[in-house]
Amino acid sequence: MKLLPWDYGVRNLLRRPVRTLLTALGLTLVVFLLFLVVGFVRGLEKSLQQSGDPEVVMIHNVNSAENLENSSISDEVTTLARTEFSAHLIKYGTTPAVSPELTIASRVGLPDEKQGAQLAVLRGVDFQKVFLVRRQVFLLEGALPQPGEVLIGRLAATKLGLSMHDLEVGGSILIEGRSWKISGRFAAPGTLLEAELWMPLDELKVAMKRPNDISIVAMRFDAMGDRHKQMGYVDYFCRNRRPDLELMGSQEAEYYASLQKHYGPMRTMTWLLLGLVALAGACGAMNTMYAAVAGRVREFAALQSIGFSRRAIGASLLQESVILAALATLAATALALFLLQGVAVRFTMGAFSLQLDRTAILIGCSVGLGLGLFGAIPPAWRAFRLSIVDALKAV
Amino acid sequence: MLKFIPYILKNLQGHRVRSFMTILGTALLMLLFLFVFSIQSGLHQLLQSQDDRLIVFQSYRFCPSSSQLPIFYEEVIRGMAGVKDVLPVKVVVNNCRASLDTVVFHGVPARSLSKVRPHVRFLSGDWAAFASRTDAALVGRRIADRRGIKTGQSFTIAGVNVTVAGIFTSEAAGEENVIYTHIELLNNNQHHQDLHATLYEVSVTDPLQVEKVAAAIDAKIKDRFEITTETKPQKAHFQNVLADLLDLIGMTRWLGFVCIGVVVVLVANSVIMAAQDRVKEHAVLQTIGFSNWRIVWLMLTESMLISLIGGILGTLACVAWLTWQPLSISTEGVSIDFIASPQLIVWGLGLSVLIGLVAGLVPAWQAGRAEIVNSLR
Repeated sequence: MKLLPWDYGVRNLLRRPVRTLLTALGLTLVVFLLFLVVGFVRGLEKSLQQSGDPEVVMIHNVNSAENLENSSISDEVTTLARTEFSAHLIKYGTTPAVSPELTIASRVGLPDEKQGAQLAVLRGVDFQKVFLVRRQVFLLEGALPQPGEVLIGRLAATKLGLSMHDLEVGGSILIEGRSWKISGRFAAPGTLLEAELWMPLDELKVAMKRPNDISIVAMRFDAMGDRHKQMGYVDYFCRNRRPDLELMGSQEAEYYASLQKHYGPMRTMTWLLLGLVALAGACGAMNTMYAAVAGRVREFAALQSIGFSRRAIGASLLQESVILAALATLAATALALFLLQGVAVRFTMGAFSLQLDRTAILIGCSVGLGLGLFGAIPPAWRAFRLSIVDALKAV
Repeated sequence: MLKFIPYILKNLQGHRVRSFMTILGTALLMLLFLFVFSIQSGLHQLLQSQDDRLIVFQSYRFCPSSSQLPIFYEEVIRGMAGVKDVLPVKVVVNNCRASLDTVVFHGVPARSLSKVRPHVRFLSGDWAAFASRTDAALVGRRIADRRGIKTGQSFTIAGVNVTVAGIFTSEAAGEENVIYTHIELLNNNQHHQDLHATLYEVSVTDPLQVEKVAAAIDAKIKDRFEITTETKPQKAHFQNVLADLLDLIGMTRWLGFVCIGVVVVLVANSVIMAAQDRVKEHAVLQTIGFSNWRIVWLMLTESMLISLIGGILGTLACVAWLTWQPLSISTEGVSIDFIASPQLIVWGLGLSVLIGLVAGLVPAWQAGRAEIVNSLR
């Protein structure tokens, strides 16, 4: 098949520059919208996926399986769990990876109250043990907290609606009316932990007037062991050995997967709305291509008369449309990477970053190019319905 | 100009595919814009609701399950100057996080509810049925529609087992997402003195004194009891609870603005094509006596008409969607309804006319200024 020269399609785009520019602008906006929403959904999904360590199992209150912030269990569970599961846990020296934690959602503000207190998740931990279990967490700057001090996640400022400058190491914050000094900043890339504030467990217990209870006991089981058996031991312990404590064991990864379920309807609606935007974009592209075809019926007939096949002319039309869509997609991708990538968004119980990862870019670019491709097919189909003779006579 | 409407319609019909594509694109984008606008409407309605009520919550707590106020606080608050009525409410939610399918139980003293919620209208059931069973529940219309709940049915959500004594509708913002039940049921049927409430809803005698009464309540409780409270006007309480969602809703506003931008581009492109197709036709019209302004108005009317038709379809689709499938987004037990209000319809239609005007302005101006001789060639 003899194809039309490459620059024939390109020149045609420049014949009507305003129309081409407007279509490209419309498509750019559509693909940018797409990136915004896909970046949001991917960011939320990824943070929930990565927050759950597959080796970690949590023991919590049986009535708080869906909201661990509401869990309350006796602090003696830590000792019981350490004794009961010692043989199956990862150990550092002789210390098994068991971390008692108290998580509470509370209001946090600045001492000068220049902005009203905002909601944040506080986690009371034993800093001698927590890193045996929370292996995603590392210290970015400063030091581990001493009494009266707090370690803040790197997205805590976003969660609190403050700037990084407001939460500098050495500065202070108000929690439940009491001032705490910021000892350092931690990161836990891609997880919801990054929006939290960590402090010594015993101090948080006193501050929250919960002297004898904790929220969860997090344990890191040996990855080489049989996970089903390990969970079986945990279940047996919770149901049969200490039913009086009303305990339940959950894999951390499954807990965060269950949180994803809550966001299911929101995700479905988001995709539906995106579909509508993409369809509207396709209408714009199709409109431009219809106009491009309508004015060139005679030209196409002449091209056929001198030996170019319909398929070759169709390919040239597709080329025009796809070039236009590709330019718009490139512009939208550059704009999105510049404006959206990594932007922190606060969301209930945490904060996360918009993620324009490979999947998001693949989705955005595929839809962008798809708009160009499918936008050209119906007009091309229409252009070749007329016979060459009729088309040559067309006004 | 009205006598030229048939001529404009004929022009639109002459380019059926182009007109159809522009109208469809406009309708889809207007639907999306209005959908976003409906959340703003719901938020506005919630935050503009009457402010003569105070909400007493445990200090520094926000998720309903973390606020635990002893039941005897009711009497303490009731005895204070400026307080008209007090309603203890135990709130249980199936999910504290932002969700489109949150179930919110409000446990209240059964006999007080009819007094403090006189505006509630029953679609089925009545107050007597609610008072007669300890596990009775009154279900808001929105949640009943969403979950397919019927009167007489029993169900268990978030570990709470209830029997539906009635389904109600209410004009109070967010109330149709609530399931009212007995406070004892949500406290696992403990003795009265052991009951806890999540919050107290306080009606005041003088709405101008809300701040003063709020401060007095907090001071008195701080003075006498260990568990302190934070009392705020209802509107401020909602603002606090919804702080996290406000960011997200702010982001959706940008989404709406981008949609409007795309509609403008789509319609402008269509009008430019129409103007380019009809250069000769306009020259002929000018030759037979049409003024430049008339040509401009013809093009502008065409632009506005096409945008308005798209706007009408988008608005109808949005209203139909929100009526057929009532949606609400909730966090920490407070819900924002997606509202298809009359303002939404007016906005949709007005905005689509404005878009047509803006999008058509430049091409129409150019069409009106074209030289007859050049155009005829």
